[in-house]
Amino acid sequence: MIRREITTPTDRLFSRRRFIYYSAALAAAVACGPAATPATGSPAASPSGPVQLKGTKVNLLHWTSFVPDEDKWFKETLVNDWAKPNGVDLTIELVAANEAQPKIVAALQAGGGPDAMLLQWTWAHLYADKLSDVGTVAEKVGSDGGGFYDAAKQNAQVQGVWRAVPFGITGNAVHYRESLLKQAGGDKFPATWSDLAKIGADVKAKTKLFYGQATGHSFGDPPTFLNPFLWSYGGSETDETGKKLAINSAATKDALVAFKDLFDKASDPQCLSWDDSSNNRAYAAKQIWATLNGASIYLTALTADPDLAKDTQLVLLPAGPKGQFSLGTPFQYAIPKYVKDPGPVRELVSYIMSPKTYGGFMKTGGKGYTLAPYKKGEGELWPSSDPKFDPFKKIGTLTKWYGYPAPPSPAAAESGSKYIVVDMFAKVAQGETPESAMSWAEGELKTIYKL
Amino acid sequence: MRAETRERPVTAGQLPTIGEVLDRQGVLAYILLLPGLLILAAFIGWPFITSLWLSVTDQSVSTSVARFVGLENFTSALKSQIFLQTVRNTFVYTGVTVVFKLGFGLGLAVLMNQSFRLKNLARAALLLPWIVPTALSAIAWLWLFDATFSVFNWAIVRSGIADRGINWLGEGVWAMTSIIIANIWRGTPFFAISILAGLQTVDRELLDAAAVDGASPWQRFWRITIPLIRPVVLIVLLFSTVQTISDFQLVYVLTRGGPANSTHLLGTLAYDVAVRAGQLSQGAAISLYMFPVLIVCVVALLVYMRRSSV
Repeated sequence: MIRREITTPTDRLFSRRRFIYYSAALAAAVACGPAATPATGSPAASPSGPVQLKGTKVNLLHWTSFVPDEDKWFKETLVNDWAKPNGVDLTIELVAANEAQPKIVAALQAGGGPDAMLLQWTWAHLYADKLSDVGTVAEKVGSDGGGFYDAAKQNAQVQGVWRAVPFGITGNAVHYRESLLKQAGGDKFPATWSDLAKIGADVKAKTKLFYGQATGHSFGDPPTFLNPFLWSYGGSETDETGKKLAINSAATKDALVAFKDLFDKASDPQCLSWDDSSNNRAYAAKQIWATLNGASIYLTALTADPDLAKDTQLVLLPAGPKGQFSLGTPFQYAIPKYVKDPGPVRELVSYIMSPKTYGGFMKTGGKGYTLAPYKKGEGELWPSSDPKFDPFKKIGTLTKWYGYPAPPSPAAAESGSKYIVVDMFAKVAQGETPESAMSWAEGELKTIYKL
Repeated sequence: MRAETRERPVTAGQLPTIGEVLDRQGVLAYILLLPGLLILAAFIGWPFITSLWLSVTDQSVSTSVARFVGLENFTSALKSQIFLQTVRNTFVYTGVTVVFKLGFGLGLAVLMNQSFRLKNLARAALLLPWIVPTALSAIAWLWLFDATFSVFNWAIVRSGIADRGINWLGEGVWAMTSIIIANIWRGTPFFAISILAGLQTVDRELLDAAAVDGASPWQRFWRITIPLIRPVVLIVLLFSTVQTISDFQLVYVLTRGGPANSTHLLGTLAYDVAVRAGQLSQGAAISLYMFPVLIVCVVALLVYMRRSSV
């Protein structure tokens, strides 16, 4: 048997009674901790009140643009013009577009990470419950910018609540070699898909170069080409309500038949493996005569290959029987709910998105690669005097969103992430019948939309 | 100041000292195992249990509170053509690559077991594909298979074999062939080096005695060498099967599962569904479909090791 006498100060400190006392005190402190921590949207953090910037740290997760000047603007201009004068320790973390989502998902699930993140497409609808309401910032930005485009608003607003602030739209236009088109007897780029199939076949026969369009699993070019193609024939995943599947339809079949015709006559099977950078490389290497892309191809050629740039013209996508459509790649700033003091982040987003700053970004950054999400972007803020860029002015108005004509939804975002529409077209290009491809897509969409 | 007074009567029932406890082998073994077990529990056990839990809930990136849904995620996966195609892809990919890696690995090991000049350099070079980070070597393969700039296609066209190159990553069958080639290239050294280690344990006297008795080289290889290295081959086969079936990096870099899902493996599909589409529970369920196959491999391995140690 061990017999102990409590005689030392240490023993007194850790007596049984005192242990219980300290434990209770500690438990009470832990329980009260979260309540004592300033919550998101607390008065101290309100954007309407004064925000203490000096000495704060902000970590911004951004995508690596295909136009290096845009990255430079963030890394240098933004830091020098906003962060340093305000005493903010601003970190810009750049990640490739295809790698952004894993980082964002990990941060949201872990409840910690970047203070602001650049979302793509309709991701705000996927992550809505974990994103702060940024309505005050979004409303002011929209109002100052002359109003957001419908697509920008649809992508960022979830059931009436702004879960993100629209940042911009990467517009896209068909880049084509005018000289090659003329060699094949064309005087201007075809206005309809059927004409593109015809003239594309002629150019291919004459020059051995094809219309190169990515149809693989990649974030930008495949969906921005194939969704507008589908819509222009009247096809869509669902009806306007989003409550009824519409993919297995005569309109979709027409689109698939027309695509197969275009693909076989004017394109090349290698496009099935292309990602977003493949057509940039192929166009720069003069392996293709035309492709849909953001302005990065033209902007790069201006310095790297002026002759190619001179021969390059830009037009919007051709029209189908139901009209002309476009799908720019939309981006939005979101502030996760785990950010305890969103005040400085809101200030940062407000600063970037103010027409004055954004106009500077468009001029010195991408020169029109990323387009403003609001209407002043195509007016007084327009960054270029080069008339070749003019087609991009219409992108904001023309562009739709994943799930169109229904409002954006988590299911539409999931479908986009799973490349259902892209793969439906790819299957037909590979030789599957339109009926089989539509039936496959319908089966997948039934699970996704739970209809 | 009062002196500290502690009494510890020496009786037959007294508690042992720390030193005495550590002297007991059974206790010491568990203490030494503890750090490893904790690491396994933290980085393998906990994620595995979490994925088990996720797979029976409706957790997505946006849901704050997950709801128990039973086996719904598993049954809904079976309704998806993409999933069924992915399962087929995974078995084809694993089966074909493991067979070829075994064949090439065995051949290389036998070759490296011979005496020749610069043998050590050749052995070191043999390991290169396995040492280079997969993501890095996959990018090299991406260029080799690139539709526009493929050096293979350049050689095919220049040598007059065909008018145009192969659409390596753009056609389903060729895309699968491409990722299989890249995997075989990467995995063969693991087989070769492991089997080479086994070959070096084969007693020369046995082979010499068989030669004296008139056995041909083929008979010596087939009747003596192969039975002796069988344990190594089996273990390498099982390890490789486990690694290949859960492969991710090669496919992710080369095709991302395309074209039209013809190269999706369970790992890449689970990633797409869980991370890109935000459906964490569905992604967990898809990845857990690997578990029965892996468990068969692991049990087979454990049974074999137990038998050979008896």
